[in-house]
Amino acid sequence: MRTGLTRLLEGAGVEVRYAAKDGAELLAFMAREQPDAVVVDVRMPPDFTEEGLQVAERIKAVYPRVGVLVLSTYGETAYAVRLMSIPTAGVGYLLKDRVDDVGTLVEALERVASGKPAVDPEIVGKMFQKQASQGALEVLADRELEVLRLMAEGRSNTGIGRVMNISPRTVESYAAKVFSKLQIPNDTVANRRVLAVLAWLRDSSSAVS
Amino acid sequence: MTQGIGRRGFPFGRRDMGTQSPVVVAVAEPPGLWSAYLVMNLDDRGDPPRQGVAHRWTTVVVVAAAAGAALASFWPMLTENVVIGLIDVMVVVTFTATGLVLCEERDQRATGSALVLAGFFYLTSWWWSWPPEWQVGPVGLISYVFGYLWFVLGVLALLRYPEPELARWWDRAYVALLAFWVVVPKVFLAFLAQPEWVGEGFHVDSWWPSLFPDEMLFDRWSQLVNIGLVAVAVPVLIPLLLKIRRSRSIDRIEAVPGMAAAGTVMICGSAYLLAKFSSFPQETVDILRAMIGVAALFTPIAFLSSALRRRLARASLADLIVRLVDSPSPRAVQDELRRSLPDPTLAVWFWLPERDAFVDIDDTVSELPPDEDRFRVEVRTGDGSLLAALMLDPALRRHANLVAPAVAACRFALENSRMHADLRAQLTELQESASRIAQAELIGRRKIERDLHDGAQQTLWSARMSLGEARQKTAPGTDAYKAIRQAQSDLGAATEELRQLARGISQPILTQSGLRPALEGVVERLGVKVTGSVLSERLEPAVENTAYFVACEAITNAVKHAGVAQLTLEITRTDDMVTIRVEDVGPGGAKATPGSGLAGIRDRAKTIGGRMTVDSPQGAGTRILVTLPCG
Repeated sequence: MRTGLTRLLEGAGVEVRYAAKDGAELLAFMAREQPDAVVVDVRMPPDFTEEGLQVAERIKAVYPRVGVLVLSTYGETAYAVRLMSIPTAGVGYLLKDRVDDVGTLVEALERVASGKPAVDPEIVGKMFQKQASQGALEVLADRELEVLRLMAEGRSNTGIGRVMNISPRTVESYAAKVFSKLQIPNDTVANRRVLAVLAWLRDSSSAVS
Repeated sequence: MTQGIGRRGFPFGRRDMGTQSPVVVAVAEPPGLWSAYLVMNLDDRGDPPRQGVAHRWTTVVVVAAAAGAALASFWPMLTENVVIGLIDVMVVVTFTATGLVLCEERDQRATGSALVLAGFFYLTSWWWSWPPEWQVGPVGLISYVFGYLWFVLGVLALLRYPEPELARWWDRAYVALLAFWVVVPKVFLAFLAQPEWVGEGFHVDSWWPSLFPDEMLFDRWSQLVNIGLVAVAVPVLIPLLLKIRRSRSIDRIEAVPGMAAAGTVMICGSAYLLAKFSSFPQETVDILRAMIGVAALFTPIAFLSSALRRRLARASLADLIVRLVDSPSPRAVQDELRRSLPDPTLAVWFWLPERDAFVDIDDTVSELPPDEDRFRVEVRTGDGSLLAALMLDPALRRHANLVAPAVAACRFALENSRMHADLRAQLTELQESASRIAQAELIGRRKIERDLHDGAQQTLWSARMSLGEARQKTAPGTDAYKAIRQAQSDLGAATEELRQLARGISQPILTQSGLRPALEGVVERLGVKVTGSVLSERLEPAVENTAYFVACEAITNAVKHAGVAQLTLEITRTDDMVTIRVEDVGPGGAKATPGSGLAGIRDRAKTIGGRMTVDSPQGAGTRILVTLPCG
């Protein structure tokens, strides 16, 4: 997996400085040199439980400027929310399935490297589906829904505008409507905004929290 | 078992009932008293009935003879003072009867003889009251010399009963001193006296060994001897008190009336001597005589009360059976036995054949119950195999007739409680083994999931990454590019299938983060609205896994079969119990038919000792409640 990912990223023009076999080795490397971003698997040796999340939290605490992209076999909402709760921005949570499309992978890597959040569209999609099935999203117009979805993925207004082919200003007005309709606290700081959106998507749907 | 109770459960039932009513009559009405007493005592000894009848007739005849002799002997007094006369007749008859009854028990023969003799000497002490023509030969002298011997013999009986002989050297020494002082000085005094000096009833013509008659010397020495007599008689209370102090259990209760009798006789006797020699009016002397007689009556009553007491104890043993039916625990059986016998030190030791050892109710295992000096009674089952040993106060050795029915009564309860204990142990073992299997399965599932993750899934990821790399290097639109896209899509489907499979085997997020995040994922995947709350704390893996399975299955059931879009899920815990409640307002009518999801929930809960209740009336929703023991 490590070699495969290294080759994939290098093929896409990313300079891979180091391939660590576990979190301890990665942190040891980072004591010498800090890259723009790191990619970690949720499950790593020695226990294959959730070491990746702990390593991400550790790295963001010690090296806030380094972006962290966490890859996961299973898309768990709880993990996404936990990672977005890290106070320093530049954290991403992506399904491993994105390796099929190196473009998405590299884009997410670039976003975390530049201090922006990134949440896998599929995880966001699942949360949307559930909300939609309960009619919680009926208050939103189609464009507003799209803005909400892209916000949940961690995109900035500019990013959303680029995807939707509209101006950032228009995005902002849609976003304001979404926030007021869903009563989500409007926060302009990127990672706090994505966390607020994710929290709404999660909490209003389920008391299993 | 049922048959056993019918056959052996009431070994003393009917016969006992039959002898209880005479006891009641006995207390109320003196003439019936002795026959009732005899019946009881024979019954107590457990002699074969025929022999008992023979003994009874012998006893009745002898007592009748004693009564006749007493009546004749006290006839002059009866005509003069009916009350004193009757009391004295009763004293003689009761002493004789009690003594004879005691004689039937081998160990009590000496005590019984002492009581019969006491009766005789009591009679003797009144011979001086006979008319002169009856006082032939040394009758007056015998009455004078042995007049107080009945008291010594009574004390001897009280101190000895129920031992076959006097247990302590000071008891023997005291009785010897008392006997000496009551008889020997009077022999010497007799040499100094003329019969008419001795007392008013002594006849001047009766035979008397007046070797050195000297009235003044006789009077002075008589006073000294009587003072000495009081001094020697007063301490009688000390050995009696000591005896009560060292006796235990039933014996202690039994000793009290005898003590009272001896004490009262002693006090009245002292007062009588004082009154007699201080020339008090005749009425006072008579009253004191009557009081001595009444007090003396307490001595046989002491023995009677002992028998009554035994009888009552046995009656309470009948209740014991009834109470034991409701007390299956070994501790309860032990407590009931302690109360009934009564012996607060009683201990029940169960026999463990497979370990060749005994175990007490606190689960202390011992090869042999300690305290070998205690009275050990074995309790055996119907087929004769050892069930338990009771360690009793040695004082109860003499009350085998009490212990035997108690053992019979407790046997079934003990057998029962051992069966309970065995069943409980088996059940615990079964549950532990089920829980071990569940644990092993859990570990196995986790291992498979990890193997899948580290093995097949890893290989698939590597293949997908290689394809991704290849796609990057291939110009879009070419056949090769299309083939790579197709391969990527197929591999994606394969990883997804594998992922679902792995998730079905074990939930990494459950293991890693607990119930709440894991169930959140389930709810999300099913797209159902769930209200309620799930505890956030972690549980023991087997419990957590079962709780997850139960909640998962119940929610899935509700969504897939009842088609509900909204339900309530509550998972809470107390100190020793996790409760999972899943409720929906769907069509209801859910049943735990074999193979159904509900049956699966029930079975999974059961493997770790949990329970499921389902309330699902047609058309009124479904409420599933599962409780799992934990911690």
